Amino acid sequence: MRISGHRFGVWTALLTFTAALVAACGGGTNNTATTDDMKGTITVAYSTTYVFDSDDQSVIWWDKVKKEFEQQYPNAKLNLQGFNGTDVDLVNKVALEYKNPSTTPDVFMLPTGYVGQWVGSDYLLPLDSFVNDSTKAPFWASFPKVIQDESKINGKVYAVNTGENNSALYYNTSMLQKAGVTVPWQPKNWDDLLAAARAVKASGQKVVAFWAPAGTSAGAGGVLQGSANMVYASSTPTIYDYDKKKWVVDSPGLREVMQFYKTVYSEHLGGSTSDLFSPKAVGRPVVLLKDHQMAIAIGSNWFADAWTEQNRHWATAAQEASAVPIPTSKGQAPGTASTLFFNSLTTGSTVAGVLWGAVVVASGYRGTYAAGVVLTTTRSSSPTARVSSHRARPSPSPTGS
Amino acid sequence: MPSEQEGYPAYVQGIGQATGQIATDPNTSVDQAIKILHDTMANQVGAGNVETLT
Repeated sequence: MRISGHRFGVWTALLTFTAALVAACGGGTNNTATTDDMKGTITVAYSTTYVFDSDDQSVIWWDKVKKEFEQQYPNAKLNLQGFNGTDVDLVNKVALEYKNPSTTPDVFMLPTGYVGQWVGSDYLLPLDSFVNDSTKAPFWASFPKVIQDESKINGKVYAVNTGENNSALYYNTSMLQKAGVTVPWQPKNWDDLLAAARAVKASGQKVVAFWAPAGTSAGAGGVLQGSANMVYASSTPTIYDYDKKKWVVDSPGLREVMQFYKTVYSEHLGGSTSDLFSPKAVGRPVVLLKDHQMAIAIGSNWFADAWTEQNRHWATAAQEASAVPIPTSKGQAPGTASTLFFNSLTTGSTVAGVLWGAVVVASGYRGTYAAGVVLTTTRSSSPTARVSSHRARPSPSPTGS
Repeated sequence: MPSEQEGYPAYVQGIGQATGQIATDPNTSVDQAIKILHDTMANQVGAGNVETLT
């Protein structure tokens, strides 16, 4: 998987239950329905453009989910509601749908980083009763704890991941060679990063020496794939202090990060502000590397997938580009660092069980077309979801909470 | 990433603004960049919910 424009490659999909939808299968408040008498339509909101390596794969993937779901629940229909644009476009558009229960989707595939906001607005229903039941979620136990916890908020699971992204440094091998940098490049600390970038600049190559994502235009994705990596690679790799429940806003590590950025930009090693502050900033290094206009970039595993696309095809990427882990600031243990980030699916209905069926079906297909997905596919050939008598929470107010 | 925490969007905004300010004006000091992050977080999640590690 990847993100277009700024596709995030292997984002995971989380499936969660929104508390908002009233008119899903069974027609609103029917909480005692069984599989056989399930009638109605479940709507899934998803991105048609940023998750998979090509837009048509997105359609194929979701069409298969629809087919399997409707086989499992023959009296129910799955209405696919695709949105194009970036991940930020998606969450903005779907957020508007959540303003009104009549337009709220039952299932929503969204970047994991935004799930907390939906939970904070009381839009999602916990999935613990499903994921903790091995008959309903046979795949859950195979998820690494760190992945399970990624969709856990205040001790409750609200989403199921269907993939995973991580970060690294991409570089153009020949550009570093021309700069006198030994390849394969193996930076051990941030001084090594700066030394290579300076060498590229000094060599006279008219390229961006080092892409260090900055600014707010790319939203959470820009931070996930940029400065957050450096925070975790710093000598104080803490963003949130879970013991004290406080955000770390000043630390030796944060000062290392700011100093690193200051060095990059004061020495004119970084990208232009027009690229950095573009809404498509996350995808710019993909294009700039392909076009031989960039030497080194903090990037993600989805970059390589993106170079297989028609519109960003880089036929010789395998020969020209390389990747290496992001080193810690001073080479301290564990030596390298990376953020992890995904996609999410959310759903909401008074009939949580059948929606869990959609979750199982959808998550079962994850990886089928998603090159590079870290989590292995655990496709459930016979989803065991049952329509439950679970009562959804009251719908949120149109303005959220 | 602590994306599950309510203050996460504020953190994204704060560190994004701090790094963006440096990219825009490299003369921005480290102290000033840290202050941007601190003030953004303190204003949005409350001063009692942020801390400095030494």
